[in-house]
Amino acid sequence: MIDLHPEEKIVLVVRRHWFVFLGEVFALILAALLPLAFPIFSNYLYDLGGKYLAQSQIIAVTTFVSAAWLLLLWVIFFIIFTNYYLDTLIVTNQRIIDVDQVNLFARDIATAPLGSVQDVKIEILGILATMFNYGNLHLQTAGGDKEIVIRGIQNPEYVKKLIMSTHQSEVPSHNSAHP
Amino acid sequence: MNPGELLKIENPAEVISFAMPIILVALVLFFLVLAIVLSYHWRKYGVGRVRAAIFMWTYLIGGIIFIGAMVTAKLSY
Repeated sequence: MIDLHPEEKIVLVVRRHWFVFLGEVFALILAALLPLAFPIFSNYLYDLGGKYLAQSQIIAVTTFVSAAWLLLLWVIFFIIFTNYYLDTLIVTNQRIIDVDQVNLFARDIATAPLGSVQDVKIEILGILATMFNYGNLHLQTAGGDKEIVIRGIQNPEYVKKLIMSTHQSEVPSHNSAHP
Repeated sequence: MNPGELLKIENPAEVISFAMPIILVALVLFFLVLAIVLSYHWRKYGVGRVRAAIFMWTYLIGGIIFIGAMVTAKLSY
């Protein structure tokens, strides 16, 4: 849970694009289709196990293995979904918080005050990123080469505009401080 | 040469019968531990109570269906 400062308001909470998530679970979807191959190879399985097992036992074993396989994939899917869902970029009227849920037991939180943001760069790479409107967001902050990178974020152009507009409205400009 | 002879297993049916409950118990434990870890994460990291409940129940119901299929297959073996 992110503890907000007094008078701090959340302006935007954004996650990676669903298409990026779908790309991660695509291998799981393919793996979940594997048990469908059992009926195709049923004759081969009956020949292989027919010496020791009755046909009903072979069906029971294949059902058991298929269910075990699907249970394993089900668990892995929820781990991936949890990592996706808890991986967020939070923009408040005072700072930017990048929560990087690396895996279930590794969480990396980077915070940058809005005043320290010097440059916001977006990258939309490739035809799929262009079609589905997702990309990488680079936040250059003051102090050496500190950079926050959020990959596969949805609608990066809008997020960039929102960060810049919040920065302009909430952070006193240097011009007004030094007339 | 069939796989039974290759592994020097006298009767593969007995090995399968022995392995099924072990696999079942291991997967159920894995499933339950993950249920606890996931629910902890979802509540601790600021997800609302309703969303966390929907997530957990989806996870549990799906898991129970697959575990039920495994148990049924084991019983009919």
